[in-house]
Amino acid sequence: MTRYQISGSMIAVLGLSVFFLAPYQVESFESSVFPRIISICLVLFGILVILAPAKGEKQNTVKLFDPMLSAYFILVLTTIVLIRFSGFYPSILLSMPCCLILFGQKDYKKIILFTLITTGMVYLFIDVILGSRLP
Amino acid sequence: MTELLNNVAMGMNLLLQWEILFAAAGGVMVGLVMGAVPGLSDIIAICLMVPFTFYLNPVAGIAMIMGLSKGANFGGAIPAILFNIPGTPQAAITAFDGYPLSKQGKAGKALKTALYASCIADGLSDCVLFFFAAPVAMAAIMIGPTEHAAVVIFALTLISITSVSGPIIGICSTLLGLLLSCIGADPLTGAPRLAFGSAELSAGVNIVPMALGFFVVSEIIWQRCMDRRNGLSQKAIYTAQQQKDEDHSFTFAEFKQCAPAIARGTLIGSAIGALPGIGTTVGSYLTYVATKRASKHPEKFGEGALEGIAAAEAGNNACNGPNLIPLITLGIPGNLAAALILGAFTMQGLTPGPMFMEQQAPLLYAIFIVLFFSNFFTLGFGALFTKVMRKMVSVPKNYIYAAVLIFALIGTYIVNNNTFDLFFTFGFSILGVLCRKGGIPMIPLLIAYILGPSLELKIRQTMDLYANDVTIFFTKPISCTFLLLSLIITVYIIYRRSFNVKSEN
Amino acid sequence: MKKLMLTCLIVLGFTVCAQAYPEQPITMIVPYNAGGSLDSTTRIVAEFMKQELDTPIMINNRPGASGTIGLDAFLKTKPDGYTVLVFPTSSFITPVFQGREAIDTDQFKPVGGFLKSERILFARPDAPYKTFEELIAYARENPGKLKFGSGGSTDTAYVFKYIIKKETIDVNVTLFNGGAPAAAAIMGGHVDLVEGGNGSPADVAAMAGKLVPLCILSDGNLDKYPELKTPLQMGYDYASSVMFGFFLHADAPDEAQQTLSNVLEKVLAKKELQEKFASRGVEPKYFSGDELMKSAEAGKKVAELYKLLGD
Repeated sequence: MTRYQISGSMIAVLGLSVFFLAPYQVESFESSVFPRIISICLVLFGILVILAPAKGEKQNTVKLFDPMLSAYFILVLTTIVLIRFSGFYPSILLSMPCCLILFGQKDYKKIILFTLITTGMVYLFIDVILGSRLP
Repeated sequence: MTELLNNVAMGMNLLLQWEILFAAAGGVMVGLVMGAVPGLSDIIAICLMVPFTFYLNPVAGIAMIMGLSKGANFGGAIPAILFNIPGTPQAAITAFDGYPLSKQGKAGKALKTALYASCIADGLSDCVLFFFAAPVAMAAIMIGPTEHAAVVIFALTLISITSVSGPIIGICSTLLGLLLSCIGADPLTGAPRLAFGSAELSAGVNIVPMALGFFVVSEIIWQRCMDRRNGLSQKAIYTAQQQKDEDHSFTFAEFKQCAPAIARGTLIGSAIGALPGIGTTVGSYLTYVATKRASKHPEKFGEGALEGIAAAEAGNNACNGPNLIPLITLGIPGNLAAALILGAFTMQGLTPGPMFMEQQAPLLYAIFIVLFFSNFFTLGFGALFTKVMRKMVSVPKNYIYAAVLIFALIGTYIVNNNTFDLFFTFGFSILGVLCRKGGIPMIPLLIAYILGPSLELKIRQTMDLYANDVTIFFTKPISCTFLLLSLIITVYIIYRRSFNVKSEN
Repeated sequence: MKKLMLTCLIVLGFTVCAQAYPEQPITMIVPYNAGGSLDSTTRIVAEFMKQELDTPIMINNRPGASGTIGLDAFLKTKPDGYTVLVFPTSSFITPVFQGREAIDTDQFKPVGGFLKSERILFARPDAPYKTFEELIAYARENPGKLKFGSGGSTDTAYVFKYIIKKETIDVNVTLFNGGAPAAAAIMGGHVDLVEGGNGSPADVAAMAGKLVPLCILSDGNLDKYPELKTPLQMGYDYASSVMFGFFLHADAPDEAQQTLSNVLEKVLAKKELQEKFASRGVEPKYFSGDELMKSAEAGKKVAELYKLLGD
């Protein structure tokens, strides 16, 4: 399957699900009209995408699952959870080195130095503007 | 005519106060820096500086807010060109041609083009504001909900049809953006919708977390994956960056080459800016597309065409001045900066509205003049700033990515002082990566997300006022014109495409 | 001797306690956008209060969801009297018009109101009706022709809908997000009638002669338009009530409520403050906490209209 076919089918599925779910997620009928119209159009065009050959697109298959990609997302998610629980500064100190190591940096001294510089810059920037954040 | 000169004279008097010049210069500086850090955008800059502006005199306060806008609009282009990470959403289009040029070692050239294009277009559009505000006021009043909806449909059609990846997928992208914008508050009643019972979702996702996740975070993750896939080790990237033919000059000949793009940007940007609620991103994109069509070498676009950069930057900066037109003529703020300027006016006891231009002419002309001169600040500070930022390219990419990631998360938090928004950024970053993988163009989605609530609101107001008579969109002259234009352009472009495909065969 | 010492200690104790409020900076949560009418009015009032109280006042804008986001944020803060909610009384019933429950006013302790906003019905000067009665007559003869847009006050729109129903006339009704879009729409001929608050862009236009006020849709009269009547005076049972006021947590100390209330009253009597609002024809006045709650109660009555009239 080309990537367009995958996209197209996902779009169509999304459209269908919104169309059927929408009435349950609104307080009044009027609210659901617009989303439902859009979702029907999505279904239509999603199907068109599957059918129509896009210009100049080779039939390349797409690797659906990339472990490194997931790793990056997990990193971002963990950082966010850390921020929620312990605030910005601790999470920067923890997640930045992890991030850099994940990206493939090897020089530990540089990593630590950079983390400290960044934390310092953040503090400078944000305190100048008076927005203190989570402790 | 003497009336005009009188007003100008009074305006210039008001201008020659240090407070105002400092406010303008300060605004531009802060805007530049904020725009240049991906994660802090012009919206955040304005939100943060607003409390200060309330205590300045009106011209100074407004000069500061507009300075922030101007600075950030150019500032966003800097990381877009250097790292393919737009510092502000509207700079995403500058990256199309800016980043390839930067990779060829010509970052300085790209940055200079962006700088000159931004400042010139901004200055020219301030002149447009100056001369055309009053006449536009007359025309602006004719745009009611029906007409506004038609204009938005026109803009969205144009953007989806002219998408690089093809009209059908472009329309899909737009529709997706519209659908996503439905999550949150119903534009007419404010009731929560598609919120799945979550209190946080009931207000919808603000554009800042959305854009940061969708463009910035996903770009970082994507670039990292691509670098990995291409097997480039960190060292290899580093040395490759150093060994290009560096060319950071910007000759007059190149300027002449870009001049039509800048002119086009001024016109389109002014028109888009004058319409409330459309936005600088649209101005930038439409100028880019128009310039590409008019160019003799359209295939060069996307690989480092200078006109591409000039077009994108001119298009987005030219919106700044005219953004004030709906505010001072009708009292309707067309974008966030205008909304906060409205607040600044109200604080001082002034109420912008249909009577404003008659009653407050000297003040307004003072503002116009300050705006025009602020562009010189942008030019000066911008030139200095880009020299500094260019050195950043020698820092290994991965460090930049990590830092930008953190700043993006900080930026999301600052908007609403709410850490839950970070989850939205995360969600949209997944969407961003999916779009890149699936070949779905990202700009139409973004623009549709911004315009969605406005479009729905206007359509429903029209339905309420005309008792659900759908044909009203075609019976009213202005509305009908725009809808017909959309249709004609759609047909024309699809015809052109199939014609091209046939001739290729 | 011991008794004297004890008395001194107690008196000292009380003095120290009496200086207790306000010890810290006060935060005011404004659940609307910076620059809106509530926000700009609040900032001016807060500026004067800051000087009286000799303590900084910080304004925190939390816009969104018709005020509910800021409201939720306020309810989560500590009830120590240092966080104040700035809210229009008409907004307590906004959730009703979205199909949900009204906000429970028992959660709050009123400090006082500082501005009563009267909602006025405006028409264009070239319209074939010059008074409210003429409007009703015209609407009866031309069903479906007239168009009305609200200027940001949903409850006022429902009062108008009620009037339409009672008089059995047919007028198309829609909602605008604020005073400015409404004013632009009526001046551009896209609607024939708008409701706008005292001091809104529509009102400014009316003061310049570009619009004509027909009647008031809220429950108070205005000195500058003495001939305009409220719905109650015209024989209808409902009228909206909009008062901007400060609120504290129900559990906040009474001392805080009292102090703030006194300072508010003092500050609103100052001439310099009145001058700041004069150009818009708006007169902030002090309303006691009781009057503030009365306005909120009046609003609850209007909430019945949602069930009565449907969507």
